[in-house]
Amino acid sequence: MPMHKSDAIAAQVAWPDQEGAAADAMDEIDEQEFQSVYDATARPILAYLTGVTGRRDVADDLLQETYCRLLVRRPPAMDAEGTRRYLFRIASNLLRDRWRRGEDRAYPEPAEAASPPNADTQVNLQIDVRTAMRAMKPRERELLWLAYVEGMSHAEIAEAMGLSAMSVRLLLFRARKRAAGLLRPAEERA
Amino acid sequence: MKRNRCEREIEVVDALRTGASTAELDGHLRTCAVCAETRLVAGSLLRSAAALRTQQEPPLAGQVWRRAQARKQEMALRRATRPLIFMRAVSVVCVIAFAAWLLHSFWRFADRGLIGGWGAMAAQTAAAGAAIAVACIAAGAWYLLHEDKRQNGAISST
Repeated sequence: MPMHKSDAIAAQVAWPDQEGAAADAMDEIDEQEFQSVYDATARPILAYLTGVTGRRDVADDLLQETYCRLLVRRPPAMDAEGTRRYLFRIASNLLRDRWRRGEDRAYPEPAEAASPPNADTQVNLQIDVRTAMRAMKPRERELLWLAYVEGMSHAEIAEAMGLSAMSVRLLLFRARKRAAGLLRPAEERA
Repeated sequence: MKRNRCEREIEVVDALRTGASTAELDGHLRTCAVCAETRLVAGSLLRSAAALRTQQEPPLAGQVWRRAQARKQEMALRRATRPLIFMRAVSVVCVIAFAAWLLHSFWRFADRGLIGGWGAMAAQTAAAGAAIAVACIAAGAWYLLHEDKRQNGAISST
C-alpha cells in the first residue's frame, strides 16, 4: 500500500514522551527530518499568520518562533495531523501573546486599497478580504481562519485558542455574521 | 425565529475546501441563508488563503533550524549557570545569617560582662561556622557534579 505523505511525516515526528527518555527532542529529529515537517506545514501556517496579522514581517517572525518552540519544547509523540494542530496552537498562542503586549494589534490598511479599482478580480478579492479582516477583532480573524481555511472543528479550535467549544460556536457565529456583512457589498459590487 | 445555525455548514465548508459539491448541496445553498453566508465568508477566505500560499515563500527551513539550535544553546547555558547563581545566593544568605548570629552572641556576652568568656566560646563559634561552610561547599559541589554527570550522559546518549 502506498504511504501517504502525512504518514511519512508521522513516522518521522516521533517525539520522546518522557523527559528522561532522551536528552533533547532536537537531537531526536535531524535537520533533514525537520525539513520534511517544515515543507508540509510552513505554507499554511505562514498564510494563517499573514492572514490574521496582515503583516508579512510579523508573520515571518512568528513562523520561525513557532518552529523554534516546537523543537525546543519536546512535545509528546504525535501523528502528522497532531503536529499540524500543535503548530497552529503554538502560532495562536504567539499571536495572543503579541496582542496582549499591545504589539501590532491593528491590522494594516491594504496598500492596494488606495489605488484605483483593479481589473484583476483576484487582487480585488484580496483587498476586500483584507478590508473585512481589518474591521474585525483579532480573535474573530483567528476563528474564521481556523474554521474555514483550515477546516478545524469547534473542539480543535477551542484547543488551539484556549476557549471552550461552546464559546467557539457563539464567537464563530458572530464573526461569520460580521464578516458576511462586510464582504456582501463587495460581492454585490463584483 | 431567525436561524443562526445549520447542520450542513460543515458540508458547505468541506465542499468549498475540496471543490467537490453536489447538486443537492447547491440546491440547499439557494434556500438556506446560514449556509449562503458561510459560503460567502469561507469562499472569500479560502481564495485569499490560496493566493497567499502561492505568493508567499516561507523562510528557509535551515534558517529556522539554526535559530532553534541557537535557542537550545542559550537554554543550555542558562541551565548550566543556574546552580552557580543558586549557590551564590545560598552563600550570601549563609554569610549574612552567620554574621548576624556572631554579632548577636557577641553582644549577649558583652551585655552580661562576660566578654572574657566569649573567648572560650570562640572555638565553638568557629567550628559551627566551618561546619556551615563545609555543608555549603559540599552541597554546591554535589549539585555541580550531578549536573555535569547528567549533561555528559546526555551527550554520550546522542
